[in-house]
Amino acid sequence: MKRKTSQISTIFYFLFFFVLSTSFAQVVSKTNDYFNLKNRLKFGNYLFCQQDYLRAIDEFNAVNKKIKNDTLDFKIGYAFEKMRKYDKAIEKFSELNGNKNLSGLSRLETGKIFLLKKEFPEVYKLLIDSIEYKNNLRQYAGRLKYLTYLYDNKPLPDSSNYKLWFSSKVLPDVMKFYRRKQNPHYKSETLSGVLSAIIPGLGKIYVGEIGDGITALLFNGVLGFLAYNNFKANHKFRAWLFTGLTAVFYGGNIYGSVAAAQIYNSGVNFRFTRELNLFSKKHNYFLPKFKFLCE
Amino acid sequence: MCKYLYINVLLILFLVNKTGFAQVPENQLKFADSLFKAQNYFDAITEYKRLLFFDGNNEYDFSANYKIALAYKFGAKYGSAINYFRIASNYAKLPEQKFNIELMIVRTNILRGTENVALQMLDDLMKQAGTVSKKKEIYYWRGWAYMFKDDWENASKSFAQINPNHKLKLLCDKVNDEKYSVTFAKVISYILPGFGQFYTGHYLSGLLSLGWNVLWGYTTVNAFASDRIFDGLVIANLLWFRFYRGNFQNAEKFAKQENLKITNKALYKIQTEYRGLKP
Repeated sequence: MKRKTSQISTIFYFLFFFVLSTSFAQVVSKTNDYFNLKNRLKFGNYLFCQQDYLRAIDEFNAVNKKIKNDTLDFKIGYAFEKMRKYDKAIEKFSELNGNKNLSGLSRLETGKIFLLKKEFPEVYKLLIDSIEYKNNLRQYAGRLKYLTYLYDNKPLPDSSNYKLWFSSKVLPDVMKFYRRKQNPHYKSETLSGVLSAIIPGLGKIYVGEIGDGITALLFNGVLGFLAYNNFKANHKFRAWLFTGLTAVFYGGNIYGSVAAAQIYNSGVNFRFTRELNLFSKKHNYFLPKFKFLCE
Repeated sequence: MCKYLYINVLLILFLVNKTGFAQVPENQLKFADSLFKAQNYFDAITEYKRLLFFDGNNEYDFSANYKIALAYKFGAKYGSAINYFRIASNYAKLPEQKFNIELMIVRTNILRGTENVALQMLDDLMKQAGTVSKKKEIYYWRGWAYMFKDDWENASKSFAQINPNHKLKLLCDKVNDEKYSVTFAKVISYILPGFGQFYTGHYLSGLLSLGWNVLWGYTTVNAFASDRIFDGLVIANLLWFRFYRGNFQNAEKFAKQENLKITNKALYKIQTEYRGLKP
């Protein structure tokens, strides 16, 4: 009987300590569960994929403080880039310079950021030695470099480069932009001014502002006629008044025609850049899509 | 006897173990709530999101999403607030909860400046509203939407549906009385140049306008009367009509400017002095 009691006590003590220890461990670990590194990383990834980048960065930084992780650095840089905090993104990507796997990718992303910031010389500086890139990244570096030429005001490189770097699928569209960049349908400001000097309003008509052109012609014609008619009738004051008005309108007509050509050309540039932006965004600036970011 | 004691002790331990599991999301909710109460909305949102992410039982889907929406609303991120109110609405179990969330979306739309959306939503809610108290709530927020839309007359009508002597109704009436009629200012300036400006309290501008119009009107008529048709046409077109047009355009502009001042003053008063519910 006594032996049986002793056995029960042993089993009880064993179970007691087992349950107590597991219970304690679970309570302690569960209370901190949400904030352990593994879960913070999980949660950070979730936020990142939800495009809640600011919060994702906080989570990644918390993990990164304890365990330095290059992929996280890349993700933080990428999150900054998405938030258009370009300088911080560049800073973060630059930390990966010596990294074996991510150095090339981070340089590509930095190149893209410089392109978005319109700091074109920096893009070339970064990508000029695209030969240095690993084989699979070279093509991306090359495409980004030649895409940048389409944004820049530098003379375009030979079209054969584009044929070399871009796939046949996108090449026709790229070449369309290339041709548009090479021969933009600008209107000559000088010609517009000269035309309006010869026949008032003609420069505006040349630019496509037909209504304004006809109005300018009528205004100048009527005022000029009035000046002439008053001189003829010897109404000197009125004649000089209308001469002055004619001169003002005539000068304004020339100036307006030059300005109209400038506005027209700005419109051409604006449409080109807008369409190129849409095209580039659609193709992610010809950079790789990182599957590891949202898995 | 001893055997039962052992079993009891073990049972208690298992229960402690179980409650340990249950307390974790609760603690997280408390933590998030404390941040919310401290008006630390950014962190509160993070912690509610964390709770939602780890809450395997989906126990907090409604409350956490609702709080996230509120936090976004307080942080003036109205688009995100509306998104999360919609998510919370999907998890709402009671019709009351759904109704309240719809009203929260209406309030957020009022703050966002999309009053027309708010009014459209209130119209839809009115069709479903059964009780008088719900209808009163709808009238109340409709009044607010109209106030923000600068339509004080309709705002007054909406508040009158709740109570003819409602504090906001009386305020709307006052604003409505104070406001200038833009049409009247324009029309009076068509007939008597400068009088639109007098009406809105811009006396100097009104006098100048009247003076210019009298001067160029007289000169034009004089030119025509003296058979100087060309002079008459030129003065009328280049001078008189220019000042005449400027006169009624100015009157319209002043009336709108003054109305904006009155509206802003009234809204500021409501913001600082009114103690009732606000969007």
